[in-house]
Amino acid sequence: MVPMSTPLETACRATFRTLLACFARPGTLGRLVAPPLAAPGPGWWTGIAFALLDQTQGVALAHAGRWRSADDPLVRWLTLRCHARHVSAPQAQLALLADPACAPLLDELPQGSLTYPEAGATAVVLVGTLACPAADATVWQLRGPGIAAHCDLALDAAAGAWLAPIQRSRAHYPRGIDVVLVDQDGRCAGLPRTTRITERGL
Amino acid sequence: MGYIAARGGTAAILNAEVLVEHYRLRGDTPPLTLGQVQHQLRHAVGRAMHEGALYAPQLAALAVKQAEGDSIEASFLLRAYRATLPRVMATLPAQGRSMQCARRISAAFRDIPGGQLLGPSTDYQIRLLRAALARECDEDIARIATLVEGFAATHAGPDVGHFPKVVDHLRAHQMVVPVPAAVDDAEPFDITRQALQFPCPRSARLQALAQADTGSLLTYAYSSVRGYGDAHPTLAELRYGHLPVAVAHPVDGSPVWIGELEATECETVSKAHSVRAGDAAPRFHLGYGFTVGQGEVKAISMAILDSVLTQVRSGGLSGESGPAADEEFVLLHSDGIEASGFTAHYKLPHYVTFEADLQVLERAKRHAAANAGGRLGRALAAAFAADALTEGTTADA
Repeated sequence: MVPMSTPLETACRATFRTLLACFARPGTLGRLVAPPLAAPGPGWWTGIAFALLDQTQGVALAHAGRWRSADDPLVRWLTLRCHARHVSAPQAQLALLADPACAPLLDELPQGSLTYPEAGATAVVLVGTLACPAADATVWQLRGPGIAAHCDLALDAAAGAWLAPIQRSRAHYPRGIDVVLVDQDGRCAGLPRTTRITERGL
Repeated sequence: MGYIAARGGTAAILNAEVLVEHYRLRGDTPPLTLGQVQHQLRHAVGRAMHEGALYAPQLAALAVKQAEGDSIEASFLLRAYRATLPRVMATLPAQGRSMQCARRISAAFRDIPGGQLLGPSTDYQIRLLRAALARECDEDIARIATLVEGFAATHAGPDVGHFPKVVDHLRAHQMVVPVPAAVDDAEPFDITRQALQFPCPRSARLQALAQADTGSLLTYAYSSVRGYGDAHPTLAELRYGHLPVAVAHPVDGSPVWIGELEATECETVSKAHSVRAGDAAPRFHLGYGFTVGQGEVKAISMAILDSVLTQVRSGGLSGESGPAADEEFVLLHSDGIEASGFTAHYKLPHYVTFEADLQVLERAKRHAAANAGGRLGRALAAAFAADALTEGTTADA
């Protein structure tokens, strides 16, 4: 029998495919596959880390408005299993940010250069919900490649804190940061740096 | 006559894929098992691995089966699969001297330290078709197994298969260039992540050669030794066997054995130049070749080219150096997957570019006619003008 993939590799492949579809169609909600392991951090978040990280990647994690240090238990757990390098924010290829208090930290991530725009980081941002029915939801209107005209993304009110840093990060396109929003239920949405975001009320 | 870009064809493409399967299976023979491919077509499997740059014997057997034995297609399948894999960790540097050799020969000395081990080789076999293979049966398999058990019984022991390196012996006697005093301990160049730029570091050269097409390396190396170059290699050592591989433990850094590679390693020495400029004492130059599997011709070709390219860099070649001494030419044109991909893409529709070519051809004809002068030139120009008018009228209609 040819050993093609383990359950974790299968889950990673499904996660990668979901992220690819979400980046191709910004604003479309994807459903992440739960990784088959007991992770100390948020499960969906960890699944993305396993799908995107390997030895060549530098990762930074933030929680409660601060970057986690190299000896943080979650950082050690993740880097040991994904074989990624823990790096400071300006060197990170992937950043995992856990709450709205971390929104200002987005400014510290690399945005690439005009010569190497692909050197811009990818930020995975954990939000409350991406399908918020509440009247006080924050609604982002998205435009750009992959969107027919425009589409709306209804997030929990606290997630509104991410809008300004995301907009700042793509002010000098093609430099910028690509963002993945992930909610507590495993929904995800891709916001590549080509997507223009404006806020409107419901 | 007009040309337009084609659209559609999805059904034809899907049908073509079904037909490929049909052509593979229409002989009404039992399907090949991967075990049969892996063990009975081991050179095809090895070639898929070293040209695909992925050591995975079972997957390589699958690739060979899927590619119907086409070596470049099989290596393409493996390399494409490799691109989907995460990079878990780099191995610790593997030393060829730790190889458990099944074969170890030298063409430099008859009595090399440790002795020679011919091992599995067809080098001394007369190239006659063995008709008996067509009737091979279980009894034949048992007979061979019995013979090999006899060999093993007479050559048992913990040190069997472990040999010192011939190049160490040569170095101890100041015959070959020494290991550089200041070894560059920077990370090796990674040709899968960075485009080759010339002159490139030796780590990039060796990577490119190791995953190059065997036929291409053979051609370049052959040209250099046959007369379009200055290479006169002597095979210091060729060894084939199983090479242990270890990684550093992610927590305490200690080496951890994770498996072994079936591999071929080759070292050649080139002739010395007593009149070479410089203050170093005359020494042989060293060339290094390595492949996974038993790829002896490729390993030797790689060692020859490594030696030639090193000598070019150091100014050690004399006379005409030949095309094999052009590092950029050799390294950029020896990858079988890249070369076959570029060549095969000409099968894809080029309707638009060919339409442009036709327009250029028409303009060239008119230009030539106009410049021809005389009655004939004027007549040709008038004829082309009339044709153009007719085509325009037809197109408008």
